[in-house]
Amino acid sequence: MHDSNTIIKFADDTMVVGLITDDDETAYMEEEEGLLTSGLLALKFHIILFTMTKLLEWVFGISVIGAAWALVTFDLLGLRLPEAYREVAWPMPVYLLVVFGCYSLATVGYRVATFNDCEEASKELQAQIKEAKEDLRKKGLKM
Amino acid sequence: MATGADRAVGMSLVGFSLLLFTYYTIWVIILPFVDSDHVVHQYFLPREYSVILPGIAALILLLCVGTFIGVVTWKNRRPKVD
Repeated sequence: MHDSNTIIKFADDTMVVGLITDDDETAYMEEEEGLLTSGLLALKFHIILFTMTKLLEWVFGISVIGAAWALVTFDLLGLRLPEAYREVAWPMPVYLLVVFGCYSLATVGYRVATFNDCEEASKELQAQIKEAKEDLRKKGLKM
Repeated sequence: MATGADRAVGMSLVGFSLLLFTYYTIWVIILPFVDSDHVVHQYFLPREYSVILPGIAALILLLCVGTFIGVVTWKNRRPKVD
């Protein structure tokens, strides 16, 4: 932009060699500002491209499924599906929630029922605790 | 293996969730394909309740959780020590 400036570019780095005359930095500052704005734009673009996070994936997937559900329930494309299919579709979100709840309950219940108790180890541990308490009481520690 | 009460509670949870799953699946997915004059329809409420009842259950659950948190927070309040 300014004739008194030289711009050196190397890979992602850009250096502005500007002429600062008589404490007047305007030429240099304006060049820097221009580069900073375009540089930030490029950086932002890169960030949007390269961080397709797990959250974004889930949001994307759920919105696709949600769009399909809305299409069937509210008949947005005017497809006029048979009544039975529409009857099945509209409670689907609540149904999936209930199924997930049932699955969670069943998993918790099953793991409680099949938990591996070790009764001898428990009794042994309690005996050791009692022994330790006695020992410490003898040595003067107040419990 | 888990002992007496643990086994009973665990298995009853499994049984209850299986029952709930079966009833709800028949209600939501199978009934629309059954002729409206079939005798099985009398064992199920009208279709709107298949969404309203879980909604009410969720509200009650939220109320219980909120009340529990409130009670515990109230019990643990301590005046600031100077």
